[in-house]
Amino acid sequence: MFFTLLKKELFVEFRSREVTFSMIVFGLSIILTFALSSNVSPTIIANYAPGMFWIMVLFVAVIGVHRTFSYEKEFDAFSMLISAPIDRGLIFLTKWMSGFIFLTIMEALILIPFFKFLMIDFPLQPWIAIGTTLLINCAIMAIASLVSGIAMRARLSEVLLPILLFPLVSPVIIAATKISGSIMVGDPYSFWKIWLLIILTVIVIFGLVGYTLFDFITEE
Amino acid sequence: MYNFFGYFMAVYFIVFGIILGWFIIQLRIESRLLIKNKNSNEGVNLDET
Amino acid sequence: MKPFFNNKTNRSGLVLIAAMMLFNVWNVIMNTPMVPEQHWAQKIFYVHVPSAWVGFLSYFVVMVAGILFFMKKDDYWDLVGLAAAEIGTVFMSLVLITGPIWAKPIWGKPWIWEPRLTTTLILFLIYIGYFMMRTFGGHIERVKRYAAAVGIIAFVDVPIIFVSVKFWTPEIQSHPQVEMAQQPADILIPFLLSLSIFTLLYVLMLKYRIHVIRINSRVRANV
Repeated sequence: MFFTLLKKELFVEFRSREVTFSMIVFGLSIILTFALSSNVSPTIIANYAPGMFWIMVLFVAVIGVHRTFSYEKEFDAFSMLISAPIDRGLIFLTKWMSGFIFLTIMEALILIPFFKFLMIDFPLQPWIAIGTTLLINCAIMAIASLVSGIAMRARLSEVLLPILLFPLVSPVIIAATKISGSIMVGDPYSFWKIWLLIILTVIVIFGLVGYTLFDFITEE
Repeated sequence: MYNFFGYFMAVYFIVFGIILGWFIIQLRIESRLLIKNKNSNEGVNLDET
Repeated sequence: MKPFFNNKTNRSGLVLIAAMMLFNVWNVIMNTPMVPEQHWAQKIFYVHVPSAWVGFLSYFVVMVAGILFFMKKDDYWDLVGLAAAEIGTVFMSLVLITGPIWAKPIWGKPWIWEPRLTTTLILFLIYIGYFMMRTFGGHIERVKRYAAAVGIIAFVDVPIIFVSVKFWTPEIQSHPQVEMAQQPADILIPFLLSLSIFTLLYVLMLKYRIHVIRINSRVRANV
């Protein structure tokens, strides 16, 4: 059942490519703004690069999650989805996974422009960097999908979503910046072990909480 | 103010002031609401008679 | 519906707690030791930390009320959640206001990214979102569910926020004053007393606020 729903999400996206395209373009414009607004030396930018990357990811994630949920708002597809006899927690899992996939695709495409425009060196341990980035995407999307389920059907949903999301996701951003910063300079695993644990905790806890609460949130 | 007495007084005034203010505000809200409730209830009773 | 303080228990509770608060201040002024180099500013901690404790307690109540609201589907728990959210935010505002006033003489500057203060700030921001959502959430029945969910999510996040902020700037340790277990008895006992009195005050405030919100919803239903 889960895979059917997930396939549906991905097919809808492949047809129009709305979500991924807007995420990539928005990401590029953020990178441009970063580059233009900071006429400082490359070493300082290298220090701030992890932070800038994750700020960009956060803004793009808001756009992406907003789009994935607003599909259901049009034509009131959400009510039809809810009235189907399926476990509503699955809807949360689908949104989480599809959001994660879109975010990862966006990051894969934006990586080269990010490093080249801001003139930063690639990290010393690329595979670890990729692995941790995937986990961080997962964590961000877990919280974002849960908050979206709440904020999307409210008035002022575009404003409510970031206002609720950003404080809730702050530990993930702290952890993400620390992990990326350490990996860029090649710090050993013990330096950033604690931050990885925090990311994993977020994934497990918010996955469970989201799965449980979605049923209650979407009652009519 | 080397002994920082001013800071101490400021904090205690603020804390107790806000708590006291909260109670006063609640009392005023409550009396306003009870008057409104009484008025609308009287209206209901008139209709029934 | 009667006024809250018409009830004899509530009235005597109010008088008792007011007396205890006054006693608390007298106790802090007269019976607590004067810490060298901090003098009177150290005594701020006897109200600053209990305020933070009450704030976090209140937000915990919001989470419990949210869970019970989902389980029992009784609107009473929505009232409890709203009341606790409001009072919690009042006390958190007190923490964020008195924090800088306390920090200035102790640390030299008004704000430092100390773990507890930072967690308080983040939680405060989350609850601003909570109140915005209560206002702009749409249909009231939906809003009750969303509010319960946000209350649960917010408090579940608290330990994660605290741990991440704590390791974020390891050079900024909590001020030693705030580490309870290390305090000598003549600081610890007045502190615990203040803590208990603040907690009793909180219970009274919570009951009162639930009462007022209930009248409000009844007035709205009549109109």
